[in-house]
Amino acid sequence: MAEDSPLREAKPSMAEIFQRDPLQLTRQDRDAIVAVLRQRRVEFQREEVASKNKPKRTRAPDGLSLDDLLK
Amino acid sequence: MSIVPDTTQLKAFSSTIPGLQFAWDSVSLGELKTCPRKYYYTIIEGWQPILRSDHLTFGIHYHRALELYDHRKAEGQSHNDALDCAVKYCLEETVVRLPGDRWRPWTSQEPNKNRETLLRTVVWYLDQFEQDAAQTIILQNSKPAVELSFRFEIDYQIDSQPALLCGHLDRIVEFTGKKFVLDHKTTKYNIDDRYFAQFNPDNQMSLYSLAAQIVYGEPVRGIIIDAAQVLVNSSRFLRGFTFRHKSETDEWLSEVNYWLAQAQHFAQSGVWPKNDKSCGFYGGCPFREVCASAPSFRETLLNASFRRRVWDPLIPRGTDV
Repeated sequence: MAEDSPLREAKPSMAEIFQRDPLQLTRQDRDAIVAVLRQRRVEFQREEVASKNKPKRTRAPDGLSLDDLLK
Repeated sequence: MSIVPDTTQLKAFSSTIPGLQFAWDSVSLGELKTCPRKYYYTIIEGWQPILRSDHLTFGIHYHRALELYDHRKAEGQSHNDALDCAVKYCLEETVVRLPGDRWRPWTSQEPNKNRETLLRTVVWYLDQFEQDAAQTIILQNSKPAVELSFRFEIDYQIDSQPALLCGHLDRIVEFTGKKFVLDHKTTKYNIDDRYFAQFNPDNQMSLYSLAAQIVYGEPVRGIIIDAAQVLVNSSRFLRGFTFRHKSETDEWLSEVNYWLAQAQHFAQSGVWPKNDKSCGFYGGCPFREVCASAPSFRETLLNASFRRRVWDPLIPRGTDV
């Protein structure tokens, strides 16, 4: 992606911040990391709720045959 | 065995019997209980693997970051400012400084315990417990009861004086009107009833229960274990409890006397036998290869893969009580 691309992220990504010397990071940089982590937490919590609400698949009993239905 | 190092000048050891420990923390007592030979290598000779385990590195930084947060909160800082302090610590302390302003990040072999999962676990834990019902006690010296160093005398005599039990408590909190010790744990395994069951009986938790009762002066209801399950892409937290009745801590303490008598016997005989039923615990003992080699070759192996340090459990970390 070109340097001046309008699609380029306005804010540095977490990966980019991680590449920098931590002693040079500003509060703004750290806040950006925290914001990303918080967003991930919201997404994780959403997935957790969704997976808990998902109806459990019932499993067919093992070892049954058509003959069993006719008994 | 090799010649017992002269420990008589060390504060935590007997001044007359080399290799006899005088001040015991949960780590050294735990090593003795696990395997006398492991105890000898780790505590008396002071061997540590040159490459520190990623689990240990993660745990140290996790505890320290949460401790910094608790201190800042107790000073009146906002959640976000205190959290920033913890984040700053995690970023700055997980790099290795090299000559000429160069640096490299801590490289972990564990996919679920590295810089990024450390930061994530710290931020998610602190956000989850921002409005925590468990509030840190403020001590009489106005400092928060965080990372408290303790020591107290027990009946067992070494050099005609009482031996010491010592250590550090993560936090003392008030929760539902009662006082608890709060301890942080991290794991990659599922946190459930079975996970929390491992803390009773447990050497460390029994010592903490006893210490809190003795040094805090008030009965402490139990220990809160804030467990963090650290996975590659997420972290989960669950709060569990472990309780010790006074009769249980009394029993644990009376058994400590037997263990210290064993330690004294080992030191006087100069023999710390291997417990070869413990070699596979916790992912395998780091000294397994040493013990499996011919006795004449062990010193060479130790020098190749380990470095020595002086074990001193009496060095305080945070606030002395």
